[in-house]
Amino acid sequence: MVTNSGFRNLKDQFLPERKEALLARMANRIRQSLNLQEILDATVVELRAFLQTDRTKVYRFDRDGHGHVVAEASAPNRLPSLLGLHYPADDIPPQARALFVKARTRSIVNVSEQRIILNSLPTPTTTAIGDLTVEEVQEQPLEDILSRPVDPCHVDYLTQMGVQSSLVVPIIYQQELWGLLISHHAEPREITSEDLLVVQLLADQVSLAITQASLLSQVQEQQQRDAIVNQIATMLHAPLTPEEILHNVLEQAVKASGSSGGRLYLTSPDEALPAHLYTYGNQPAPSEQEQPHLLENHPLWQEVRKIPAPIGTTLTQKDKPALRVVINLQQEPRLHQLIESFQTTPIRGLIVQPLYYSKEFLGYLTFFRDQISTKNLWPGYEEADERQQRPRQSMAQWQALKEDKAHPWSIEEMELIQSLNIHLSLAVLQNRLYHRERQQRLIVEMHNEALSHARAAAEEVSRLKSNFLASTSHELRTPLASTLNYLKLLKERLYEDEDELREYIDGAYQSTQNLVTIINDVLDIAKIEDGRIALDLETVYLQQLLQEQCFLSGAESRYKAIPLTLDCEIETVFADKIKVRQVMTNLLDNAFKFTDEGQIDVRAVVDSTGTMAQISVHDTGIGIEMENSEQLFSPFVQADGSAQRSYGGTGLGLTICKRLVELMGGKIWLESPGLGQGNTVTFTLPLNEQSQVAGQGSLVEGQAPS
Amino acid sequence: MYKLAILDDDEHWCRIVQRFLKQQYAIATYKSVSSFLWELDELNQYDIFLVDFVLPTARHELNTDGMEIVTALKRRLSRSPVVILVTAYMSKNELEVHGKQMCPEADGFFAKDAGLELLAHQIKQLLPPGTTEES
Repeated sequence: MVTNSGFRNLKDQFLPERKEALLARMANRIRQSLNLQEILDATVVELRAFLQTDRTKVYRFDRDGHGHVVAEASAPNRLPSLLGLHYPADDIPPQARALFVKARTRSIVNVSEQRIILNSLPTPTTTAIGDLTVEEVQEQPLEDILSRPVDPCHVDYLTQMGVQSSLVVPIIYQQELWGLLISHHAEPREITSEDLLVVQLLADQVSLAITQASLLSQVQEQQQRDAIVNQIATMLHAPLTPEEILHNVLEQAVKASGSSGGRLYLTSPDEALPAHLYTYGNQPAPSEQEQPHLLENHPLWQEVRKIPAPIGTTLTQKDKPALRVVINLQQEPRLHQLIESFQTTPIRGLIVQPLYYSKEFLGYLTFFRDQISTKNLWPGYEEADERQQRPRQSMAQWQALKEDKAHPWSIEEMELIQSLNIHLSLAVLQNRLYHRERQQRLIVEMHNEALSHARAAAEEVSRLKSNFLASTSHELRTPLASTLNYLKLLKERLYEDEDELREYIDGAYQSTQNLVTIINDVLDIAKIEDGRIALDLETVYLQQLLQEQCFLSGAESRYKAIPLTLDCEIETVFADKIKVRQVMTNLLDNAFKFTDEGQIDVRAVVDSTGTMAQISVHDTGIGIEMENSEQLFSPFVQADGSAQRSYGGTGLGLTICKRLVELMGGKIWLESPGLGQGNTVTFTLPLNEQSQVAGQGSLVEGQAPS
Repeated sequence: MYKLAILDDDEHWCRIVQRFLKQQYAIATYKSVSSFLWELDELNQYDIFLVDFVLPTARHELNTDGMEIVTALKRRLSRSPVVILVTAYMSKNELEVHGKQMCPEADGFFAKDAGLELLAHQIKQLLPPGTTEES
């Protein structure tokens, strides 16, 4: 037993020195350290040394009213440790706290006798608050309150914890009850008024330390928040796409605000930019995927939007964005229809903010918090000490109260979120500007490209026209000059004999005939290109038409001893009979012109699309190298220029064929295995009127070699 | 007798020129560049060349045009022959204006629609003065 009167007397004898020494040490510690925990740890050690009791502790109240032991000093094997334990708000009800503030110090010297002493009063026997309200505690004279009996529940609580003597001094910070400085002893123990005074002074010193530490931590936290905001603001200028930036900023905002997930919903400002949702971390259940943006369409979000919240580019007190905080989704009646989406997730709380830039509404910023993990807050849960039973019971109740609830966001966290909101609004605006600018640029680029194409096409047309004119004049002048010069030779009788005379007449005749053919072809092409050629589309019996064409080439076939075969699997095509004849005449003439041996085959089959006739003329003639086979369909181009002289003709035949076939809705192309190996010219024609109307050439896209 | 070479794929033109000038010149014709041998010894024998402006657009000769041939003849042949650019692309009047601009190295220009006397006259004028047919 520590509390014998002899020891106490001895102690009291040295009290003034010890008191001064204690207070001086504490004042020194507070001066030396800004670390609150360090000061609190020292306080409980000093207090226990001073009072010589079994356990001293500092009990701190949290924002939600619950409390926990933040510092403790205890004698070995006397009372169990309570360090770190949490107690629900009900354990020290509001009226009891009000009494602490009012009476300052409260001491129960003997729990079993329920004797209570308060240092501010000379009357030694007083009582506790019973069922008074906070208002009653504040209004009634202290004497009246303290004359009430000690709350039996409190007596029971202390008894069960093995405490027989208790001294409690409130720690007041900024006129509010910050916590309690408590001394427990396992046996009844009287505490002198001098002791009480010292403890009171110690509590005052702790208050001072708290003030210092709070200021420091406020500055530190502010610095930390500023650092986070700066870090996130820096991300806005990262060399990434605006989408990546927004996603990264959201991720950092979620982490910095201690949330488990977040979403950034951006409305569609115009048709060019669709509404967009960025998400990070925990999200409502998948059912939402079926109805995207469901959350933001909910009235809760819509209401937040209506709160007028003009936001400037700097965060000032009056410009803070509106916030809507839901700590417990279950208890928010308006969210009932959404509860299902959250039930399968750990999300229990959310915070919604509208995003504005000036008066422009940009979207919503939503953060989620998961339900509290209560087990972690109860480190003493597994201890077997019977004396911990009562705190454990309290804890069980507290746990029950906390279930399905998320940690609320602290004021600082909310301020942080509001700061981030402003930066995000700016980022969103940047994103929109970027997209608008990019869209404008794309439109300009498209216009430029279209203009450039148009210019290139115009230049190409002009070039082709120049080439055509140049070629035409050359092609016309050459036979014209020959005719003229032959006639001149004849006119001046510059021939030696009859044979030479005949030779000049033949030359003049042939040159004139070439001239006529060229003129006709050129006029034909000019007519086609001017759109002055009329088509007379009808159902043409292809077999009959091809047979007639082959018959007309029969003389040439026999003359050159080159067999001509026909294989027609098609009954009719929808085309202009005269034009088809012109095309076939040209192709057959070419085939015979360039073929000296072998044979010529005409074949007509249905193409792979089933809508077009594919008619080909195959020869075993001179063939061509395939490199520029397309050029052969350009005016005045022949595989071998000298062929134009050797074989006659204008080089306009294939051009005319191409124009005519395309006019009838088909395509034409040439294939050759190579020089000297013959070639095949194939053209397509619509099988019937429908395919003619539907295609106009596009039907055979992919068949023709490109 | 001066030796004259014609490079032109137009059979009729070659035949007419040959007939018209055969009294004055020994004439050889080449109907394609590939047959127009680039052996200097052979080409060196000619005094006059009539070269068509743009030669036939045979595939293997696509990169060669009349102007390049004129330039090669003038620079590479030791006897410095008379080279006349002949074409049907332009009329006589056009060629008079643009000929020298297009092919500065040619000695003369002849449009095919102009009279053959003009050609004969032009050749005579371009040949070195004082020389005769017998040179």
